[in-house]
Amino acid sequence: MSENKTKRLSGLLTSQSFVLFVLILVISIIVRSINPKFLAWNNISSILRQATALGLVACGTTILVISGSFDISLGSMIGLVTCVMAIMLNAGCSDLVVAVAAIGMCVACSLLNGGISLLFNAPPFIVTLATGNVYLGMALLFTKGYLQTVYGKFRFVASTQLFGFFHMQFLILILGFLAVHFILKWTRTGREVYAIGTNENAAYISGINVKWSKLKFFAISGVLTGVACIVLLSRLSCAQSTTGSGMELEAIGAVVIGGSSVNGGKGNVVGTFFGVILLSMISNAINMLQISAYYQDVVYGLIIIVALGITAARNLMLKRKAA
Amino acid sequence: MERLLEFKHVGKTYGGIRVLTDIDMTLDAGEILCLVGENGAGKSTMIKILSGAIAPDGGEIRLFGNVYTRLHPRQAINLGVATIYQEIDLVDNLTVADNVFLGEEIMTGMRTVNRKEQERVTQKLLTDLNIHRIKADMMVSDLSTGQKQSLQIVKALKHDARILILDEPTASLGEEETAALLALVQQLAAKGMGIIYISHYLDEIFRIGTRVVVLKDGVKISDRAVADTTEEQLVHDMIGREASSFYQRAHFPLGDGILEIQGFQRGNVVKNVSFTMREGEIFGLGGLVGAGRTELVRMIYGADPNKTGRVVINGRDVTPTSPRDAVSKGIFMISEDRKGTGLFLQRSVRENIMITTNEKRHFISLRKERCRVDESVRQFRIKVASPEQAVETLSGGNQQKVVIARCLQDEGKLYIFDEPTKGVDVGAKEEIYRHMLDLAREHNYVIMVSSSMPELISMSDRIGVMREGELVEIVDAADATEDGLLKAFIGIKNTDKGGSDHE
Repeated sequence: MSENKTKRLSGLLTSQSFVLFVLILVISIIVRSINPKFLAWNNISSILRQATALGLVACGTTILVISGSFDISLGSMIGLVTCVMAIMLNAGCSDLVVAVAAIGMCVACSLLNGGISLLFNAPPFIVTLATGNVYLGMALLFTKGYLQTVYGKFRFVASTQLFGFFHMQFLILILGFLAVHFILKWTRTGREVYAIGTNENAAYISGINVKWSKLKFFAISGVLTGVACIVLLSRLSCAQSTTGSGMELEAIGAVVIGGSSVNGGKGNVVGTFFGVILLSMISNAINMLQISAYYQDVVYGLIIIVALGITAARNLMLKRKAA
Repeated sequence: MERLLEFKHVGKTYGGIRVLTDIDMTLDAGEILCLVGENGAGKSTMIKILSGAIAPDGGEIRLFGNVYTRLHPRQAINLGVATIYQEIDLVDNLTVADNVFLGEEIMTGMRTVNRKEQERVTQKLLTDLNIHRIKADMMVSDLSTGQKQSLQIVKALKHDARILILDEPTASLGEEETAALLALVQQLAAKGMGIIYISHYLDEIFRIGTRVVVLKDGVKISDRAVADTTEEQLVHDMIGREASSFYQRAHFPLGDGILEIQGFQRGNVVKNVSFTMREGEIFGLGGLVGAGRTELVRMIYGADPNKTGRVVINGRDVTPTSPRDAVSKGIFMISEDRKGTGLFLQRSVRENIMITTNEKRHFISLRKERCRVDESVRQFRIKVASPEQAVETLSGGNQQKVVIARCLQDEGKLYIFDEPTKGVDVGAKEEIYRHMLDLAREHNYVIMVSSSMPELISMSDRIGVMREGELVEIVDAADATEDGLLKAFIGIKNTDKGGSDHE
């Protein structure tokens, strides 16, 4: 029993999530020593709010990446959907209708991505590269390139606070991660994610309806992206075609930082969570330390490279241990 | 004679399982030491230690008088240990000479490759070894498999190797090429090299070997001079009991149920195959590679498109439209390509066993799942340190048991075993046979595709012979002989009566 416990403990200590957790702690302590406001509740809360939309998108992306696919149209999809939402709000639609429509549109777009990829047996990477352009172009057409302001409407998500300090956005973020963690660990869909990501042929022979499952993964990613759109529009109170631009790559970055393999079959959403927090924290820290914002992208890139290094080192260690 | 190599108490453990225990072994110059044993006996682990691919976790290696606790791959090569693996490791679109010098090209003063010099040196090497059919300027893609094997040896010799390790070099060679390769090996030994030769073919050992070491379950069982031993003796050492490749199966009364396979057809691959079988019957499918057996069973399982074929059990049409549909109708298949279409190699034993049955419910209870997996691991005697272990770390036999355990999680009716014991050691083989027989005893239908004659004859009730996509003949296994079956596979008319009671 105690041997089992130490095994589990050593498993925890060598997990990517733990390494990231330590990294987050270390960075926090360093930044705080320079700017004590960094760890004030106000700032932590701001980091978490910044992380919500990215976190939700990264959740869905985790499922896609582990199952061996990608969706790089998500950024453009968010642009299109938030623009359509803003137009709907200004035309007098109720908040609820707009929220449901947002999720519906994202699911539809995601299913289109998955569907085309299955129909033409084409890699999702290329398919979503194409559809991403289409979504971006549609957003520009609908808005004629103008910023769509919603004049203080649709504030309910961003403005609601529980117990006076706990933003509803955190709740949504946490629920999103819990839901995906639950799916991956305790449902058949989760097993399908890992199975298809590891060996599609074997999954088919084992009695998994591979095509249907893949559509399911895209649909789940769509739901989460839809929620991300709701959060984003509510927080920003305006939308334009470029609202989500770059978020798909940030999300993939967070997933990779979290230790999932882009070759599929390996990873979990807990790692993604820490990846998202790390990225948000760093962009916040750059502000707090009054470093030029231009460094942000450089640091993002470096963090991904560091994460890859950590993953490689861990794999090497595990291999050594096995041998 | 000079001692080249000595292993002292070398051991190796993988994921808690001992694969090599306390091995002592020597190799002298001029010796051809043959290493034999079943799959998983530890032969490849041993050569990996010697070639530096893995580190032993105990013991010492004495190489040319120096003592090492482990070797590194580069170091092993530089010291003069050359390893030739079964897979050919040459670049097809380069010439023989280019391949020999790949990565260590001879340069001209202009820093370009000196082709002429490379070809001259290569030709000299080839001539010295009496290899006349290969020329230094030939393209490797024009060489036969056997010639490529010889070339791999030549390439290794360029490094002045003193120990040459050959891992089943003749596995894919014809008779003539084998003879040429064996002659080359003998010639090298005569020049004072030490050779470690691994082969499944015992006759080769008696043709060229000087000494033979038998491994079983990672332990050295015997170390004999080839001249003082016999084939029976070696087989006895390898399996630890009297040689009998024929499994003695129990027979039970067949049930009343009837399964009909009707009119399976796909182009030239499967031509209008129909047969019927009775409940509790094991129906063997034999034939040469490419006769359409795997294609047929994949269609029966619904894995490949099927327009005309029908699977009918007791008058009810249960033709699967997909593997998923097959599973829901109680039809299971253990596929021939374990790594390609059977297993999720990087995932745990637990997930691999449960993947099919988990498809029946949306939510999974981890606790119940763990209980069930523990039970299966016991029942199928899968050797694991923990069910959370990745399946890729298991031996072939245990991997196969995982696939079988997956298919036996739920009640079924028709079970298709495609090469159930390919790459599986003798012990696991018998266990797999026992599971197949249990299925038959419980009045299921079992279709077994096999390329092993003893397996077909001893396990089947009847054997269907396939040739070029057609089911040409159905033979009673009790009357079948290896000789008769082989003739049927190839399509030579049988002259003796045994085994041709026809279509």
